[in-house]
Amino acid sequence: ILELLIQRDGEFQELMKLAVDQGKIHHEMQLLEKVVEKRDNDIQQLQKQLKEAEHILATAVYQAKEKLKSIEKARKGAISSEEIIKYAHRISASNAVCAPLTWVPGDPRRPYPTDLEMRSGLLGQMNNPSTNGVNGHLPGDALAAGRLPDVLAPQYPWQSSDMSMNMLPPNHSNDFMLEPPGHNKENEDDVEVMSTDSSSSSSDSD
Amino acid sequence: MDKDSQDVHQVLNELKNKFQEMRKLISSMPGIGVSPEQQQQQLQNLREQVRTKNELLQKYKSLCMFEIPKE
Repeated sequence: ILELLIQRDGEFQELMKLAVDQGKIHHEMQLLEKVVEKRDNDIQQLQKQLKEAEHILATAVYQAKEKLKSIEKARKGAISSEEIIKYAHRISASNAVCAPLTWVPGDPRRPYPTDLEMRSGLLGQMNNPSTNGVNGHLPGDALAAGRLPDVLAPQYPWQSSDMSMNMLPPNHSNDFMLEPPGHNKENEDDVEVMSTDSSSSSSDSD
Repeated sequence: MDKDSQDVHQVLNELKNKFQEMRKLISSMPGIGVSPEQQQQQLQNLREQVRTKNELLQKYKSLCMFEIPKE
């Protein structure tokens, strides 16, 4: 019996060594599992950042392509800066975007279209086809400016005395459209006439 | 003789108690639920996973994100 017990004891000792080894391996496996979990988190975070970067880059590329398209479009229909400045003069000459420089309280001129101007515009003509004759009339600002004393009449540096004598053609409402390049001489004349619109109105409204 | 048999009984009881404690201890030992071969296989799998994930991370970090598309 003793020999049997000793033999069994030896077997137990070997099994205990094996169990201790397996315990060490188990511990190593736990460490590896933690590493795997950490790597998984890193990969997910990196994927998320890559997705965000891809989204940002895609947006930037789209915007850049749109900008290139507009650049190409602008190159095809190139307009000189002088044309743009002339057009700006046309717009500003009608006092449509800001009040006249010489505006004082009591001045009936307004930076926005008056009723008469609205009626004489394209929209007014569409609503009232019978009043097409109004089209040729001068705008309300011009009419109002005509009643002002000479002190209130605006004087611009680019204005010359002979320019103020130029008369607007009666049907001139479509001249605000930007004309294609190639008519520089005509445009220049038109712009000069239009730029003196607010000032020359004092002479031609009466 | 009786005294000897009593001593033997006592020693046997102590041995029996030790066996009981040992059984409890064995059930709480980690890593002996599987055979050593299976455990080695699992260990290899985990090492392979770690290696693959490390490679993937390195690939992501060295990824060229500014490839210019040829139109």
